[in-house]
Amino acid sequence: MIKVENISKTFRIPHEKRETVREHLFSFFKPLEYETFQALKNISFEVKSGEWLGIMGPNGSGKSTLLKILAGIYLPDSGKIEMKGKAVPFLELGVGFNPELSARDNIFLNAIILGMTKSEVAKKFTNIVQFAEIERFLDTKLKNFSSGMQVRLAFSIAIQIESDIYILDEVLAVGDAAFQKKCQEEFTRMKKLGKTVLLVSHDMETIRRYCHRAIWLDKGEIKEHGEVEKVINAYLGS
Amino acid sequence: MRNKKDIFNILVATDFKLRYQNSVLGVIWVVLKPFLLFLILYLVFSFLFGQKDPNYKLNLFLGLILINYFQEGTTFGLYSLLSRANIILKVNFPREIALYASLAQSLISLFFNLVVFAIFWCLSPTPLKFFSLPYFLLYIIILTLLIQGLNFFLSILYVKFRDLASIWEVLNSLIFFATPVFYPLSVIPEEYHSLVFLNPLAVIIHNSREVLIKGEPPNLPRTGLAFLLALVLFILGLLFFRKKVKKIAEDF
Repeated sequence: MIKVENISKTFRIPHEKRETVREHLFSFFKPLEYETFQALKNISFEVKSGEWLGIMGPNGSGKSTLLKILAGIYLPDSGKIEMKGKAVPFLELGVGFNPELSARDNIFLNAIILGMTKSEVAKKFTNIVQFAEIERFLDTKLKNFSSGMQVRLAFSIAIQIESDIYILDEVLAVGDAAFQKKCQEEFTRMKKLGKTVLLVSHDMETIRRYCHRAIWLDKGEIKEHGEVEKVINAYLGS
Repeated sequence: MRNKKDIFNILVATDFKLRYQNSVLGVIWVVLKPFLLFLILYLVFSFLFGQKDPNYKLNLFLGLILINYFQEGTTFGLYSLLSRANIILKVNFPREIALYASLAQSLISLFFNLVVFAIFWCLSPTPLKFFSLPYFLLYIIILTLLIQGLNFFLSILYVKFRDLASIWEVLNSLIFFATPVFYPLSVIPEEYHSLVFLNPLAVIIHNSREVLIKGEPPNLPRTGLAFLLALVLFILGLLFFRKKVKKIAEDF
């Protein structure tokens, strides 16, 4: 269960970013000119247990900011978030992957960063390796993997992570047809298991197929909220 | 987060593996770097200070190991948040772990260096007193508190002021010369000694030499003061860090 109440987030963007001490010193008496950018305005919604909520909207509408707040990376200026159950954010596949390390090391690194314990990873290690079809390349450095193989590995790790709530950002945007198919199968499985999912996607088909309800975000505000078809029509008609 | 310990371990293991990737001598550099610096300074300065101080060799080596721990520890600490931007911006794990993982990295170097020092130490006729090792351990703890206290500030400030890296590098060489590492304390006039010992690093290095090499008890008031200073810095640093780290992702 996720309950979001009146979340707002404003970023202050300095006109000239002062990063060095010289810039700070020389412009000390000149007050920093900020442009405030309100990324989210009074966002409220609720996702019940076992429900899938699709989030759509043009680039820059605040989707990623919202997910980052839910993932606990950004603090909202105001508002409240309530979550029941363990949540895992997938803002990107393969977080922490290091090209200089072997596939084996990267599996442990990525899975532990995403919240698994070392013994859990060890238990699921064969599953991950088989699913990613990289048995022969376990000790190859990741930099020698094709980008497709890297995505496949990252995805294989991701699906082994047990959680109640999944926060997914554009996970389907990468990969070839075979990968897309695997993703779809995985989504179907997750849906059967009754997981709670927040899914950001530009692909209306995916949202239609899996989500119970949807939100259309635009310029930081919820433009439409409710039944999937209604929201998609409003969004596409805008 | 129930896997804090696993995150810490994997970050330490990853850093350690990556540190000497693609280098021929690999992990040997951990020991070789301070040892080579020791050789250079020894060759240059033993003519000058060697007669005054019969233990010049050991004193120099120990001093270099400790100051190396400080310099490396604070430098790793400075980069500890920003260098992990790729995970900090994607996953919300307790950020302090990143700092402790960096500290562990320099503790590993310290350990290897002390093993080499221990060999030299055993070969030389130094008196081992019952208090030597416990006191030395205390100085390592004070030094570690000092480093971590600074790192709480450095790691956050570096995200906001990127030239802190260069500033800290210069400050580190200033600290190196301001601390009696390669010159004995006796070259400084007696009346300035109390000034020198305002520097906790000077207290740590000088007293470590007293207990380990000379076999004499340390100066307790100065030790207490250094400990207090390190502890206060650590606590202030922790408070500063916990307050600032919540919003640090926005400054990356």
